[in-house]
This record gives sequence, C-alpha cells and structure tokens, in this order.
Amino acid sequence: MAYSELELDGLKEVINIGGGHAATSISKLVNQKIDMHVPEISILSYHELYEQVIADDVEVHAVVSSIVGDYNGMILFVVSDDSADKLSELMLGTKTDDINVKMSAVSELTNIISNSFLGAIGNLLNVQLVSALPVIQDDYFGAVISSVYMALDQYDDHIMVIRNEFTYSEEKLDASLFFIPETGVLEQILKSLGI
Amino acid sequence: MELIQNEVRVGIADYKIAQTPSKLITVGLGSCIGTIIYDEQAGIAGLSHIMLPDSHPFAKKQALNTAKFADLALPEMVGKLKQKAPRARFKAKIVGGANMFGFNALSKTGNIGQRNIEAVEEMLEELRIPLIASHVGGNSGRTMIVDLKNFETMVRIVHHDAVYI
Repeated sequence: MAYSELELDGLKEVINIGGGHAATSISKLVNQKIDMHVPEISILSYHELYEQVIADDVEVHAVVSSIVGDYNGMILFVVSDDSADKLSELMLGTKTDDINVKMSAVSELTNIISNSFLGAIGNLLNVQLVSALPVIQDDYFGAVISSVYMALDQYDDHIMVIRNEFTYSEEKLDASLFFIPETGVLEQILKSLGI
Repeated sequence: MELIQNEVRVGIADYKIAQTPSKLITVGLGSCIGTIIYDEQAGIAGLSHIMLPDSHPFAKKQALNTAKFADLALPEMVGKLKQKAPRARFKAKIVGGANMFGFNALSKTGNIGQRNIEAVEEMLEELRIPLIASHVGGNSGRTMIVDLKNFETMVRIVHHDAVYI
C-alpha cells in the first residue's frame, strides 16, 4: 500500500469533489452554509488514527452504507452526540430529545450525503455508484472503524484513511465521512484518472 | 506499599502483562476479542486484543505482528506469563467477537467475530486453560476492564448498564 504524491493528489481531488457535493447537499437540506475541509488521505496505524482523529473509546453515532455499483466498499459517517443534536436541529428546525427522531434524522442525512458523494465521484469517473440504505449504530469508535475495515477484508494494521470533515458557520462539526473502498478500487480510480 | 492503582491499557493487535493491584483495560472491541488469562496465586495476568483468528493466510508476509492473531498471540502471551509465574494455574475469560452492523452478509469471508470466538476457544483448549466466563457475539462493541485483585471483569456496551463476568 504505497502511493506516489501524484497518485495521492489525484485521489484527494476525487474525494474533494465528492465531499464538496456532499457539503452542498447538506447545506441545501438544512438551508445553512455547511463547508468542508480539504480531505485527508493518509495511511495510518490504528494507534495513530485513534490518537490523531478520534479516540477508540469515544462513543459515536456511526452510520454505514454499502457502496453498490461498479465499485464496492462502504461509506461511514461518524458524528458526535453534540453534532448529531446540532444537525438534527438544523434539519428539523427544532431541538429534539427523542433519540429515535435524532437517529433517523442523522440516518437520512447520511443517505443524502453518501449518495451525493458517490454521485459526484461516479460522474467524474464515469461509473455508476449508489449507496445502499444506511445502518445506524451507537458504539465505540474503535469497535466501529476496525470492524468496518475488517468486514471489507482489509486486515492490515495500517489502513488507508480517506476522510472529509465538515464545518458549520466557522464552527467545527464533529462529523466525519470515511470512504472505505474494497481492495483494488483505488487502483481502478487512479486508472480512470489516467494516473 | 503501592498507593497508585495503575490502569494498563492494551491497544488493538497487542497484549500486555500486569500484576495486582493494577487493572488491565482494552477498549472498542468490535469483531476483535479481548482474552484475559489470570493466575490467582501470583495475581498476574495477560490481556490480549486480537483482530484475526488465523495467521496462516498471512504467513508469507514479512514482519508479522504476532499479537494480532489468535493462533500466535495466545501461546506467546502464555509463554511470557509462565516465565513470570512458573507454577501458575491459569484461568481465562473472553470478551468481544461481535458482528457489528450485521456485516456477515456483506463480507466474503463471513462473520469474523464468530471465527475469532471459535479460534480463541480452540487455542485456550489447546493450551489447557479453562475458559470460565465469556461475553461474546451480538452486534455491539465492548470495552473490558479487568481488576487483577479479584479477576472481576467489567464489560461495557454503549447505552447499557455495565455487566460483570
């Protein structure tokens, strides 16, 4: 798992376009400006991931959708409880204490985010990509992320982390979108880009 | 006199050995398994956090991390425990092996959590270490905290009360 600078830049651009569309679709949905940071693409050990991104014992709302179409893999949207509150409030126009309402809002949001993310990437690469219905679970980040990678037969101690982070009116939203393609998909993407 | 009760944290694909009155902790077990092997007499224990059942498919890779695989991590950890407590009579408890998000339908290799449970149980049998308690399966992640004073093992699951095994 080693990529050149050029290859990483190419991948970053693809993810940037996907994430940008995702941010736009959230903005439209909540009628507020949601921005996205430059995406992060790095190969990290689990230890580094837990140290630099989200700690393994943090309780998160995790939403997983499988990617179906020409490429396979998963989209994982991870959001803290505070940010889930904020996002569902933006979506519903009112605060809610009902955990089920909050979860279904976050789940629907993920559905929209992942499909706009995949739609944009698919358009760029001229492939058909859609996401299956999301599954939401509240759990420890460590349990979530390791299980997702292993479910995709990625057993290495070092994983390719592709992540978009969103902000809302200068404030950081604790919400991250992970793109976890099956083995070989990144190579196919690079090939489509002609890199 | 030991006043500080230290907590020893075990990361993914790692194992650590500690002694009473410490606590051994591993967090965020999804399909992974935490195996605690304990000797009451010496108050010594090892906690392993394995990711995969079997190292054989990866044998050709150089620099294999033995602590990642059930078949390598457990014998190695028990070997180290025996050096420190030669007359130990070990007992084991295991936690984890969940099938997060109901993934087994998606993966080509089936339910890793279940395969991990089977591999760890087989390995313990081979090592002749009785498995006295387990909290495995299901589809939630777990955190385990083992008190080496009495082998009490707390299992935490998000939105649930802690369970002691």
